[in-house]
Amino acid sequence: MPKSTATTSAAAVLAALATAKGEDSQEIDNEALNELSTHLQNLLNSNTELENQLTELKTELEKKQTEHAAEIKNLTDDFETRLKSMEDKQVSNEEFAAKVMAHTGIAPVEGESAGDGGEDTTPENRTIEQHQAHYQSLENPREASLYYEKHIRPALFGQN
Amino acid sequence: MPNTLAPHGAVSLDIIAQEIIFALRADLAIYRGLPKKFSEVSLRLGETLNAKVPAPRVAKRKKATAAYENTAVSATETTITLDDEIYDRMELLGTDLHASAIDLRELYAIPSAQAMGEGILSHAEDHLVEGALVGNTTANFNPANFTHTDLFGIDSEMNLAKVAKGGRFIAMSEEYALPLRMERVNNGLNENIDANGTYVNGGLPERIGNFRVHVTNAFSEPRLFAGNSLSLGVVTSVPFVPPAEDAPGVIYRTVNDPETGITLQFRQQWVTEPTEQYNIVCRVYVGHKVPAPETLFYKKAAA
Repeated sequence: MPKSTATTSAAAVLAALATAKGEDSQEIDNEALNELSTHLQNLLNSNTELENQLTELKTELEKKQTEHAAEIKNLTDDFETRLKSMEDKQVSNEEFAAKVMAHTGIAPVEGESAGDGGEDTTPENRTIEQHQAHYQSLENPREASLYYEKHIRPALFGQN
Repeated sequence: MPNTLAPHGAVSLDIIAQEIIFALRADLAIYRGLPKKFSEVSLRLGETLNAKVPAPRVAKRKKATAAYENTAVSATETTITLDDEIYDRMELLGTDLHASAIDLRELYAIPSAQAMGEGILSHAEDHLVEGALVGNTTANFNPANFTHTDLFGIDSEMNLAKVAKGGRFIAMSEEYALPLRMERVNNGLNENIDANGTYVNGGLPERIGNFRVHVTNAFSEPRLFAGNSLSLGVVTSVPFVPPAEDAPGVIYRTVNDPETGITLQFRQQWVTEPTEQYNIVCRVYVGHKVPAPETLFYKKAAA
């Protein structure tokens, strides 16, 4: 029984009792007592039902909490993996930048990441190692030479 | 073949290869306007390539009622055999390859380009002497006495021989260019100098009279050749690489020059440890031919 219905019914029984008591406190008939008993039983049942619902909710909550904890752990692990990968890549880029520096005497532009060919970077904004990486990726010898002459040669030798 | 850079020394190889191509342009400028086929495909020595030769143009005369007569505009072709390999093989140490880019260019690329240019043009020289001696003389000529009057005299001789003016060129070594340059200076004419003050084309203009002028240091001795677009054809190709040569530790590069069109092959091989010796070979197969010897003139230089 819904809680609101049980409360209404109990209020009606109490009202009936008060009426009966007002007329004659010594003459409360069995019918009213039975009705009261029934409503009290209904209230007890309703309470039990609510307790069951509460238990179910608690169980569900605990289940959700477990799932969320697992999800948070996965996200944390993934983040740590990515962070480790970025740190490794950073070391690799620093080594490559050192090699480029040794070859060309030109340091990579500070603040730009070294590395993967820089398809997301316009040619004018590429670092020398990004130019090298892009040059490597060109399979057509003519395109590679054009790219070398336009972008790498000026970086290595200036306009001379 | 991808231009993949291997981890060690390959960046240097790419710089050397590209700078050789760049430095070679001046010597290959002689082939502008001449029949040629620079193949990007690898071939074997003895194979042939066809170079397009422009068809001679002859203007026709007609009366008002006559019909126009068409002549084909499509070029004919001349078949030229790839008969020699031109190569320069450099032995370098690992420390050499770790030099700065400027050192790689100055110490290795430019000298190698000069060697390759001399190799290719010396191959051309063997064919260029199939032409006629200027003035039909066997007497040796002293290049130091060469003047503009001599140059225009060659032009006139070609006109008299009815050599077409299309694509006329004159190629000369520095020994012939020097007196021409001095003559220009003495007469208040401009020298050909770039923004850095360096002589371009031996200080001579790109054109004098009907001639496209080409000055080179790549001839094997003081030389002067004059011709037109029928006087010399050239073909080159990337050397064929047998599978057995494609071994571990060997890096190949195929580098093309968009300006001249030539494609060279570079092969780097790691040789020994611990000295880290590398061999870098620059290679190309070459063939030359004189399609019309009657269009070609040259001077025989004093010994």
